[in-house]
Amino acid sequence: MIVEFWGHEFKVNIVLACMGGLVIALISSMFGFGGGPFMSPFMAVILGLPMYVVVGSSLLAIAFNTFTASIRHYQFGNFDVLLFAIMFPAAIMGGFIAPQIAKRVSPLVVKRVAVAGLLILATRLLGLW
Amino acid sequence: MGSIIGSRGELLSPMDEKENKKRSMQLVKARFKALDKVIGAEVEVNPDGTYKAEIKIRTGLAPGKYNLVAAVDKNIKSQPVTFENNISFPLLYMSNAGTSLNLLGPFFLTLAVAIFGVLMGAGGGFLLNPLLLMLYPLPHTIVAGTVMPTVLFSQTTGVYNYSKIKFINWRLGLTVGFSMIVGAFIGPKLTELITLSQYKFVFGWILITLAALMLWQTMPAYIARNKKDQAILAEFKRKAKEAAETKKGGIS
Repeated sequence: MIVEFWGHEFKVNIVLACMGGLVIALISSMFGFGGGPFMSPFMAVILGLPMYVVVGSSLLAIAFNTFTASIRHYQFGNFDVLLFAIMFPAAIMGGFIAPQIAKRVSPLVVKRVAVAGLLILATRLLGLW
Repeated sequence: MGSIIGSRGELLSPMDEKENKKRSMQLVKARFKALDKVIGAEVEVNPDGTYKAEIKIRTGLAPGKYNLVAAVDKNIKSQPVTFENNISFPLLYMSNAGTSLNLLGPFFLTLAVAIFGVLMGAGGGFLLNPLLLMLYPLPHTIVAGTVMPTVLFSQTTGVYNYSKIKFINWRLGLTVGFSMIVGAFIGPKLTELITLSQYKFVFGWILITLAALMLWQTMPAYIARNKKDQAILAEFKRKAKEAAETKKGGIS
């Protein structure tokens, strides 16, 4: 498939793109996270698209995933209204506060802290301590 | 499959068979996979036949009046022991999750995770799901099913903002999006089929993969490449904004 973006054309292996999308959607909907951090590297590295094409389009694809998965989880009775009502405003507030902090911290430092935090969480989940 | 319905304190109104099955499945799936979350008695039988039963009431038990009856067989039963579980604000009972929680806990946790999630450029779900499971007695199915609609809003606003400056390739996004719908259709069913410990195990490995990805993004080679990409991205964004504004100006 040829992808046209702002006057530039890129060739995309559509079978690979759909397969990757399916697998990422399966895992992310199963475990209940967004999937963006897997989708954008997948499109950038494996499909070989430049970052400025990836950011918007990967978000669109992922919104489809989140929407479908939300409906399916709701169908199975795995949705708690009260818990949602508590978390939703907090998530929105976070979205407003974060850009204020983002100006003051280096993204590199945040990423390194995130790596450490993720590893701690992962070892805890795997029951290593 | 048999299960006890209405065991959480509040009497349910009579249901038809379909609803009945749905409700009982809910209990079976989430509750009975972790046996310590059901009221269970520790029975101590003495040599003379008398016995002592101890019941530990877990935190987060549904509010309401409980009658406990000890039964030896169909005919010999003890007098019911009654106790009432009262909860008051900010403690709230979540009927689908089957536990009561202090609402301030999840609120501030979500707030902190959302802020950190935006800063690190990954949605909060990666951190929020395992933290919720570790800190609170919530079933993994409820956590996955409730966090997903929470992130949906921020994604939709993101798509809207990008579409305003024409920064989405609809052909690519929709094609991959449709294949993702198929995956998202199957995924939630799989959540139901696994146990909490399996969920935690796989999630652990997912987080290790994500950590590796993020570590790679802090490597000098990646940063050099990213700098170029970001410069192009900024240039395109500027152009896109200009284009959007001139178009607006043309209409008015």
